[in-house]
Amino acid sequence: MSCPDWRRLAAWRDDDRPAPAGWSGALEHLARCRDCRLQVAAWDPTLLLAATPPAEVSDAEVADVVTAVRALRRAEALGRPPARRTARAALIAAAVVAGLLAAPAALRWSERGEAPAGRPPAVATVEPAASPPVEELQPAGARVYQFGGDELPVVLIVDETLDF
Amino acid sequence: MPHLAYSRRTAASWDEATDRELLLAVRRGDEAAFDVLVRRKTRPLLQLACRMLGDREEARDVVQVTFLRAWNHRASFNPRWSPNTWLYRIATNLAIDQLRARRSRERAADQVRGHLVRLADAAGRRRLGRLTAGEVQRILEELAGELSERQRAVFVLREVEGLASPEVARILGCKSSTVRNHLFAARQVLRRELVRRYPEYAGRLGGEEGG
Repeated sequence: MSCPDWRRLAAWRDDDRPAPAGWSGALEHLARCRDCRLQVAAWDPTLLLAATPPAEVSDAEVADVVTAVRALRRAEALGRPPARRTARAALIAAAVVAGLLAAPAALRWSERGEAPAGRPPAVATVEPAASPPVEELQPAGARVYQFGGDELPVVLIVDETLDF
Repeated sequence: MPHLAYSRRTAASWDEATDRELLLAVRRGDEAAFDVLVRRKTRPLLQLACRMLGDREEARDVVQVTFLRAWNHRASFNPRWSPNTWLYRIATNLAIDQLRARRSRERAADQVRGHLVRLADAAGRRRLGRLTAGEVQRILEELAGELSERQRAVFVLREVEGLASPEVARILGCKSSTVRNHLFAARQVLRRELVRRYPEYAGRLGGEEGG
């Protein structure tokens, strides 16, 4: 593109008209052409500020936005953002684990009977209740994770159908 | 039924459609058409948001939320409007909100920032016309902090995007006369700041402003 007459080309800015065709090309030229920049800087330097090059956007970035928008739409369609859904599942799992840990202790307490007054119950003499096998705890469609050793196993059950 | 016929189209078959056809299909809830619209409009919207915000990550967030809002409010698309106007309106309003939020966050750090800017000015002052495009971009981002959110939006939409004042008014939801006022004020603020930083233009620009 040859150097334009900037005063004439930019006359549209003084009224309500849209820019003429090729305006964005002229701005790109202005961003690169030193002679035009000197000419415009002496006349209206605010026009130089409009002539900054546009951000380069790669095809990969466009694809990323498409994917992100799809994910946002799906999350909204499910009624909640993905992060909240995960947090809710974790809360449910934590509640299940707490219940599992508390259940054997509660059983032990009920089997122990009344302790003599002024003496703590002899915990060591009480036979601990057998924990149910993990397979029996697993509802259909849930995932079971077991951590820790035989002494104190921690069982985590994630049942997404319980999501409320 | 036309609706069913449209909804059976795949994303590839929408590639040749005009923006208006796409948006009309989106209004009927066509997800394939929406995917094509997102792919087609991401680049220009991201460039617009980058110019307004000067921050790539924030611009990307704005564009993603723009599309999400466009989908959620697709029934409100007015076919008499240009499709670009509708999308630009959503994006510009989101960018203005973002700028307002940022301004309130940055208010506390203004004194430090001002000091740093003055130091940078003193160290790097060169003739404006000789600056590279990247340097001008940096100056624009600094100066844009002196503009109100609406002045900034008007400057980008009118001077850079080259939109007519009535279209800018539709995007911002105001009158054309308001657009003219914002643009006048934006140019004045930018000239004043440029004169402060590049005093070699003071006489000429001062004369223009006064005359």
